[in-house]
Amino acid sequence: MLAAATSSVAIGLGEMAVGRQGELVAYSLGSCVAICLFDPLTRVAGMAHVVLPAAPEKGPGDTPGKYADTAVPALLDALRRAGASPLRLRCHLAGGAAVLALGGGGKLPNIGERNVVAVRGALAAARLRVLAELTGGTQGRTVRLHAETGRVRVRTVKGEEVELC
Amino acid sequence: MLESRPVDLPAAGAAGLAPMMRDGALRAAGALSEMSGRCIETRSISLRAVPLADLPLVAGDPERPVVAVHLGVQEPHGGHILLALSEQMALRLVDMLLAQPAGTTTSLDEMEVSALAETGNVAGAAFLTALADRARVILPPTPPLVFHEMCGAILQTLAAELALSEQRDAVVVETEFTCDDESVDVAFFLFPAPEMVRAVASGLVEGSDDACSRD
Repeated sequence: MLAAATSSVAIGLGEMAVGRQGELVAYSLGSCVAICLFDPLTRVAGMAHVVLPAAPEKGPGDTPGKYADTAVPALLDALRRAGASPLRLRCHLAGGAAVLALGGGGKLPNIGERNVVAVRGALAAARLRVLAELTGGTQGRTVRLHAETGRVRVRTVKGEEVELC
Repeated sequence: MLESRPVDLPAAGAAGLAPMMRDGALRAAGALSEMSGRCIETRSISLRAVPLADLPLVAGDPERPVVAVHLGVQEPHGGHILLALSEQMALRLVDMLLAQPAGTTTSLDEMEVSALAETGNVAGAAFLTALADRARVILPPTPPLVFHEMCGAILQTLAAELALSEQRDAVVVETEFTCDDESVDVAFFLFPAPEMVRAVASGLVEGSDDACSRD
């Protein structure tokens, strides 16, 4: 799903948005990964909230932002249409934590790590370099991308906020 | 806005699920009362299907910090139980459990975390036992784990696991409690995996068939 960012736009599970003003926010990421892209020349920003590493065989349906392998090309397309150039895009990542590090035979512990690996792979395939990332670990994160400046701020449950540079 | 709808199940199973969940919640409340020495009762219980994209919102503000006790439901059925408390409520509950004056506990160290884990374990196991007894299935829980986390991050991780099996909705059972007639900031969630919902509903249907054949 694409939405224009005006003031503060929440990017839910599997959603994407591009905008020139306000903030794009992915709240309380656990295993999900937020891909933050910003063109400093045309000042267009885009965020995708990736839930899983790869789309199923039948395709991503109407949620290309849900899967790492389809989110990256879909977000690039949306940014291009908004006037951004892939050559100039600054890329930051956050999320991919093992919040419920449960152990045992469940699928939960690996999703975050698999998401991060898949997102990095999809970005590399698109020739995009990650400038900074805050991924992995065991803590959830809220990620804010300021659409006018490209600043990316990440907050955890303890209230600590860091800027990805 | 949070979207939800009734759970889509065979009629006999669906009809039996609500009273079964009420029974589970009553047993969980009874277990909590016994542990805390206070009168803890269920205020409400709901059973609904929520789109996975909305799951991180079922406990309100997704950035809200909570102390959550998690129990998994072991395979082959699968599912998750969460007892989510506000930070303040977690401290208050520890004082109750340890029979201390309110305000004594100001941080959660090893002993306090252990007390909360046991609380979640007792409440969750009581709930599952009620379901298992009525549906005649075995629903063993995994050991309890305590997390201090944004509630949305916990729920989002559960949503991702459900999305792996290409589910679009999550079945959510939610219970709120009162303590000595006062509303308390404790929410109890059961997120059964589809296999668990099917097994429990099938158990109910078979149970009702048996009852008919005995008549």
